[in-house]
Amino acid sequence: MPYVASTLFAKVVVALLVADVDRARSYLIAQRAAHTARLRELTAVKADPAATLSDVVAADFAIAHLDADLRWLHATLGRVADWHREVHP
Amino acid sequence: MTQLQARGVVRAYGPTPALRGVTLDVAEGEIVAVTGPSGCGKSTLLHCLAGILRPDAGEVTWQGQRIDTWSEAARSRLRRTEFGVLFQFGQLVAELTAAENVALPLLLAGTGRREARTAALTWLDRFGVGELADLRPGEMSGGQQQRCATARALVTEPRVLFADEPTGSLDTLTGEQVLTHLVRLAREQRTAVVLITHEPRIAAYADREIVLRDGLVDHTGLGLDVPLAGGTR
Repeated sequence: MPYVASTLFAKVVVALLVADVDRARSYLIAQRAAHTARLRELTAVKADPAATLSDVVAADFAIAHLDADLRWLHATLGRVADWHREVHP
Repeated sequence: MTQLQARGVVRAYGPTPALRGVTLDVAEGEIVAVTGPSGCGKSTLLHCLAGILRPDAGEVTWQGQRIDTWSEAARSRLRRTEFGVLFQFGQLVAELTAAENVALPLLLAGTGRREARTAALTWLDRFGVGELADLRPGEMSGGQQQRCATARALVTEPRVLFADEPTGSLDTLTGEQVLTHLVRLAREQRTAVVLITHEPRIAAYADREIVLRDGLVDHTGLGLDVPLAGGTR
């Protein structure tokens, strides 16, 4: 079964259900900052001339997931207000 | 030290605004990623900074001199000497070999044929495509073409390289190889890079990220403020 659920998704849903748009949005923004910082760290690991192929492959795995999460975070930031209206009509 | 500056740059295409007052600085040797959604003005900003387009209002300065008021000929000369430009599709001249393509900016700047070819071969080697020197673009893969185009953009050893989605037409691995070469060589020769991209993993190679939204800078830094869609706050 492909991996399609995550703590990130669960936290955003909870924020929307129990709080408001701003709380959910603040969480998304903070998470984007954390993801971006980690993406930069891993990119620096890969770009280091001393990196082994094992380092690169491991970094690739994490970068691909962070990249996908960041795309989702961007899209969700654009949808969060409408989503909140749907959850709290 | 700041080399390139935009101050309140405004640019529209007919009634459609593309940039609505963008201000940014690029320091010597700095790699700056400009990101944002489609239509946010990224490419227009690059064209204004590189002197390809004139802003409708605002200023673009290079080493303290306003270049937006310069003639087209003067701005073209600047692009041949101090600036390099790289697009998503390398835009190599189909009739020329790889070596001739890379040598072209040097020839246009007045360098002798032999010297230009020697430099072109050196740069093709640096990008790992030296053995393709006598092939034409149609005989190369997309990744090989983009490496040649990147070599061509750097052969004049510009002070600033403007790269508009330079890996956008390549698969992930090939794009990463091109970008890794580009960033390493730019850092070696202290060339600043203005890198337009919509991909977070590409922006992560830069020293700094600038997010544009609706023609304005939304944020400078590490992503602590995110553009909000549709004004729904």
